[in-house]
Amino acid sequence: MKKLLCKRGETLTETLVAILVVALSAAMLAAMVTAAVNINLKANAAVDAFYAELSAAELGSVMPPAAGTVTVTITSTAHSAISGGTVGVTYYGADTNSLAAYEKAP
Amino acid sequence: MNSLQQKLQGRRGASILLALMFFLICAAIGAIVLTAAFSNAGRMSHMRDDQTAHLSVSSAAKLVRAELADMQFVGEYAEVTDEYTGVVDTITDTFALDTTVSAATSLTDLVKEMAKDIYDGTASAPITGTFTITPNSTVMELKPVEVALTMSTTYSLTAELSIANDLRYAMTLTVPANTNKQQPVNEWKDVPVLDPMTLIEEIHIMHYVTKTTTITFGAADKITISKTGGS
Repeated sequence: MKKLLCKRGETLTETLVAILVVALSAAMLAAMVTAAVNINLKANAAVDAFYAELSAAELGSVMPPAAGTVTVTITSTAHSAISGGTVGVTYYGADTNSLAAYEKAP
Repeated sequence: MNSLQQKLQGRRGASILLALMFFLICAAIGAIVLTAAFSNAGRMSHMRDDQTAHLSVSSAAKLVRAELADMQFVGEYAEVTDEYTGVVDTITDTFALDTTVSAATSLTDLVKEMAKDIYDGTASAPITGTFTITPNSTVMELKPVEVALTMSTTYSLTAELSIANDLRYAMTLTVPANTNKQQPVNEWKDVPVLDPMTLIEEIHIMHYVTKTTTITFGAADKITISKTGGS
């Protein structure tokens, strides 16, 4: 407190260095905040796209639904005599290479 | 160290000290803001993996539910007793899927095997059969799902579905079953039988007994799917 209330001055060099440090700090903070905002914007865009994909998969909004199959393989040794098979299903998803779901074909 | 002490105890200005303090505060705030942003972005990659696994298991659960719903098996046993000689012959001993209700698939075959063991009395404890459901789509992001199907001695089924070696997304499907044992049908008939010793035809009273058991699994709305995994 004593130092802060001191009425004596300081050299021009010290003042300039202090101003420089303050300016650099402010610039660094601004750059960091800008980078964080950009990262968040990109993350939000990715989240929006993700939920659009998820809705398409869960609500079956693909147009047209893709017909396909799933393979059922019996793995219990006690029932190895039962052969596996395929079941017709309908795949739902926004696009290829996206989140998807399926249900038994009608 | 001495210079710092001199500076602190000096009578001159404190601009540099304040500036350095401001720098430290800026650095700390910046680090916190950036860390939060990176952590938010990193969450996305986990969300996608989580949802892929969740959709794989839930789709498989819905498929199993659709396959098992309303499935019906009919067991028929008929025997005839020669009241004169006491000899009992089995006429019919069948246990089959009612194909008018649901079509035969590998899953119905598996359930039939398990139910038949209980119907025949060869299994006194719950029976478990396992199978894997593998999506055949190369373009969709879906994973194979492992299913452990357990049938209780009352024929009710419990299916536990999970991704291989990962129980975080596990789901359990419970299928109730209803067993209907019809009253045995008794019938007596006079049947001519050739005596092998005397070669004389004799009339024997034959007692026919027919027993029918129907096992019906729950409709789709009676089958519950619950999430048992941790995620």
